[in-house]
Amino acid sequence: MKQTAEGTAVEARRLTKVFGGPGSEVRALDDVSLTIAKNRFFTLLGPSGCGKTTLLRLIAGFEQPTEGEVLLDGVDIARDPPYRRPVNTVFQSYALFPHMSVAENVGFGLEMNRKPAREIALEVERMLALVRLEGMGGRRPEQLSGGQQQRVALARALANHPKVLLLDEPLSALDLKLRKDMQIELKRLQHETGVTFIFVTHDQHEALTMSDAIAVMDHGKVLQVGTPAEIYETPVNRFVADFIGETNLLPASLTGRTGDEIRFRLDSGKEISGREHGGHDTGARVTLAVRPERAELATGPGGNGLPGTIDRVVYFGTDTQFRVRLKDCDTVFLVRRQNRSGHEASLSEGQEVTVSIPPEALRVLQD
Amino acid sequence: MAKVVTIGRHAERLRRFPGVGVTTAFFFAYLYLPIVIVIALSFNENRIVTVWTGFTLDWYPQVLANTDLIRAARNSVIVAVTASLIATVAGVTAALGLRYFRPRPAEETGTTALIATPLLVPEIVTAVATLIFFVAVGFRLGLMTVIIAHTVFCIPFAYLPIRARLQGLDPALRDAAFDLYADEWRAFRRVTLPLLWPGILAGALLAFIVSLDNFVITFFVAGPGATTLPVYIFSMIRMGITPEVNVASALLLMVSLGIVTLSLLLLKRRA
Repeated sequence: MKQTAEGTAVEARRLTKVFGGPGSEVRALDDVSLTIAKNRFFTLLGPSGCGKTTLLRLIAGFEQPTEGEVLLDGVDIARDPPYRRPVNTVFQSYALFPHMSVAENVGFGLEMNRKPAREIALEVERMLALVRLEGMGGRRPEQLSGGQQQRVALARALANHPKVLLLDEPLSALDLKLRKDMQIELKRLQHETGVTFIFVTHDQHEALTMSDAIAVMDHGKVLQVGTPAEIYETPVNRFVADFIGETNLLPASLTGRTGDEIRFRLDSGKEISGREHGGHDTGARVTLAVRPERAELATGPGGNGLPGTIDRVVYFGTDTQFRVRLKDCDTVFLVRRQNRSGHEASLSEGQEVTVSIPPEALRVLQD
Repeated sequence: MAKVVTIGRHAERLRRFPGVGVTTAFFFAYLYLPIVIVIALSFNENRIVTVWTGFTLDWYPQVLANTDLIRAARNSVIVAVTASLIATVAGVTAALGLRYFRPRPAEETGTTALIATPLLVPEIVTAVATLIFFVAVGFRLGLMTVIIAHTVFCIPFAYLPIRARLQGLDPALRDAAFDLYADEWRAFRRVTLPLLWPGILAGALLAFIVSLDNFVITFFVAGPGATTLPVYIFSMIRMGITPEVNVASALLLMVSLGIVTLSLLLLKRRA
């Protein structure tokens, strides 16, 4: 079952989609080019209105692009109607046909492809087993729970052995526990079927934990494509850094460099040093980004440090978050520390500390 | 919970308000008493309708033996079936077009307003205008002109319930059918149409009843031999109110009630 085929499943070439007429134009996608490799769990991540669902609907064929191409296995399908594309969709609302049984729903695509009845029945059985709904074929969708409906929607889409499975925020209607279960389930299904999954979400945790690759989108543009680790550790700009996980953003100017040490001056006047310059020259205004878990807290003066006062301590179980108000500027700096032993908790609110930043933890961002 | 209690207490206080019971009784009597009287009098033994002397079923066979009345009833059914069928097809296509050809919101609202406006035009105006139109283009008045005129005013009645049902459908259902390799026609036949069915049925029955009961427009555009039941009843009443008039009215009412009940039952079973 598992395919090892390498290569490109879907490629978007200079895709632009404009909604509305003259005067009320909305540019939902703006010159997007993107390559999605075969047999991957690929995620389109961004806030609502960023264009991720539009991109999905262009691949599915529910929308026609204003400009550009959608290539599936190297063939431009951008003008094909959805019923001629070997891709299938799991809808946010599931869109199960309420007047048909579960089995009729799952077999609908095969029936439309004029497969023989016996073959359809076998495939439906196989698909219901795959999503662990054996024996549910005779029920109506409304007799199932939200999680079960979700599985029917998956079975219905996968029954057609699509080249690409499109998932439009499929987990957003489920409660937290069920959502966690379905995340694992989706990964399992992707692995077992070898189908390329293109998954749309606005939930960064979902994206980080499930994806082989992520494209971060905003305002109709793809800002960055990479593995979850790349996106998290080396965000290309301020938006990506801010959208994925917690980040401390510090406006600063680049004041000089000695060897591989790059020096920055914060607006408070404090100087810190880093290892990268982000392509900027001396005197340039930049934004520095530091992940909360990469900074450390010291009670005395620490190296490459910023003095401040602990504003709040928030206990998260696995780790503790410290909100530090930096001296001489109105900035709150977040530091997270893993709770490995008891003594870290000795830091308390109101205490004077130094936020110590390892130079390699300092990222220089474009705005 | 607290809200339910408040509403309950509110309703309780309203019920105890002096005069509520009497007013309610008067309201319903005002609505239904004349109809009840017509039905009751259709069983009156006495030929003078206002004097009750005893119960009889004799008038019913007498009315059903009246060939003129039966012919009028048959005309009514022919007109109502034809007009409501055509109006329903027009209603379905209009609703689908206005939903799926993606007009701008203003265009959709505007077109719907245009379709529904005949509901607001005084019927007598429509009647006169339709008559003048038929005469101007040289149509001979007959059953055909009645059917045409009825089709026109039936369209909004058929269209509005269908549109409401269509707007309540998740647009993703149609996308899902396309996604699963159904072309436009099969997506319509297998997904949209079955889900739209209650709306279509409601619209068709509404159009049927409105056509069956119509008097003013029919009176103007019906030629000789195209008399419908309401027009016939009106002509009977010119001779004075007879038990036959009451029987014919009672029968018409029962048919209407029967159809409305049927449509409600069908809708309920589908839902």
